[in-house]
Amino acid sequence: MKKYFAAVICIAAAFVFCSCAVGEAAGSSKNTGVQNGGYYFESGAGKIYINEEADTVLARLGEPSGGTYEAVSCAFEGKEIFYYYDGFTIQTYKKNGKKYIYTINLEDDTVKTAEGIKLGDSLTTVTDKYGTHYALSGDTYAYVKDNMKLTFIIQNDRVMSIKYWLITD
Amino acid sequence: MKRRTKTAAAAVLMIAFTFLVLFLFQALLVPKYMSGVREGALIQEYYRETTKHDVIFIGDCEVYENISPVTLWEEYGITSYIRGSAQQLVWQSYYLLEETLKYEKPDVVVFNVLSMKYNEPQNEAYNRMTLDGMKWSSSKAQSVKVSMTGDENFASYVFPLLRFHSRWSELTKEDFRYMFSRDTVSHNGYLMQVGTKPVTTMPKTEILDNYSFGENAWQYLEKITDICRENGIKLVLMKAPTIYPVWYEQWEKQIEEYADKNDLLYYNFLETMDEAGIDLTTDTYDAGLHLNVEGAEKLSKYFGKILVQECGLSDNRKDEALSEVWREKICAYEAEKEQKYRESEQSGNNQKG
Repeated sequence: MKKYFAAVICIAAAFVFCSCAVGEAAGSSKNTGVQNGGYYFESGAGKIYINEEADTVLARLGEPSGGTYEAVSCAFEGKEIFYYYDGFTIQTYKKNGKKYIYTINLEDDTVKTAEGIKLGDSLTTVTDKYGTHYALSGDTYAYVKDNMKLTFIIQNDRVMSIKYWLITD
Repeated sequence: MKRRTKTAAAAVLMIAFTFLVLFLFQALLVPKYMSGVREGALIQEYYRETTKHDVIFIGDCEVYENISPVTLWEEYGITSYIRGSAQQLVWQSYYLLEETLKYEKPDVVVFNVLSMKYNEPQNEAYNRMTLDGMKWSSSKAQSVKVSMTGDENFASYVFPLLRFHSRWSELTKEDFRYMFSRDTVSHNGYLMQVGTKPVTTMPKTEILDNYSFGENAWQYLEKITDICRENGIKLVLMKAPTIYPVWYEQWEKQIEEYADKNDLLYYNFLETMDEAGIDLTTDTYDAGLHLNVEGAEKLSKYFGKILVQECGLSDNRKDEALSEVWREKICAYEAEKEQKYRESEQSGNNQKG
């Protein structure tokens, strides 16, 4: 009997302390793998990659002309910050004390993607530059590359929205 | 015979011991939500209530951070409870309401409509904060089934140890202290925040691919409407006066049409902020995402008047037994408010409470 009790405790402890977790404990689910790959956006201050460390990028870009907006998560620690620059918005997220680029949204036709697409262009212009290997959902054409995606919302044959995203879990 | 009895007794003892060990490990390892992410403790606090409520609020942070039941009582004698949780999805609101109706039949149910933007399960961590706190019932089982994301499984909701067994390396004193009982973190579901972080920049509106709410979201709003109708409960729809996430005009139109079609009251408090006296340079602690306690009290005063006028709620303050219960709630509310103000002043941090 004593052996049994000892065995139960050992098995339970082994189960509990086993590190093959189903997943991380409840928390934010953004991907933390920092990258400098995928489609990038190029501003006057150089190339900006999704999920690269934001501080150096923001320092290069200078003070955002349209200000910033901080969106604190409903329950989790950390916040997402929107930096409103002329023609585009950068959204960052925080992980382990560091900020990373989460999204880049092109706001008007004064800016374009590194491949030359801007708001108002046609679907053909987009597919000429990016090919036809997109995933289509509604009016959104998504090009996935290296854990990020570049999406175009195209309505009435006009690009209405261009956004770079980090692919999250 | 004697030997057989002995063996059976030993087997029962061994099984009971096994379950006891697993139970103790589970009690230790599940998140307690007593500090930091207190939102996870909200749902289970409802079961401690000893009296019934005139109004039940369901929805996400737009209810549990923006409505103060204590103010509704103090100003109008309305008894209310907020069954809110972080990123509560429409189907979760429905099943929480279905479960609540097994305990009581309120006169009014208020549903905050922001969650209509979600049509699919979103995030396990938020699911846990809504679902793990529910007592087991058919409502919880259904809610788990429709809420799970691709990586989740039903068994881990039945035995949370399966999900949280790897937390052993993150255990803190809090996990031992609250193994068997938890403190109350809310005031009838209201999570108090103090401090001010004014809105200085308005968040930009992004273009969406599709502004129509999804079929699944509509289906569960319809179920909320039906269950209220079947139980003779007045359903009121609301949109809290917070500016992020952005509430699109196209969404507003759909909710207005739904409310008209179903003869429901709908209040978008973004449109009546001035009338309610809410000023987002002083009444928010996080730049317009949620109201601080002053903002929540202003909104509650404004909304309470509407609830009395439009839903015919009566003043319960003459009921001695109820008044006694609420006197205690007011004491706890004022004590926390005072403590939070003091902490805020001491830390010199006037941002998040």
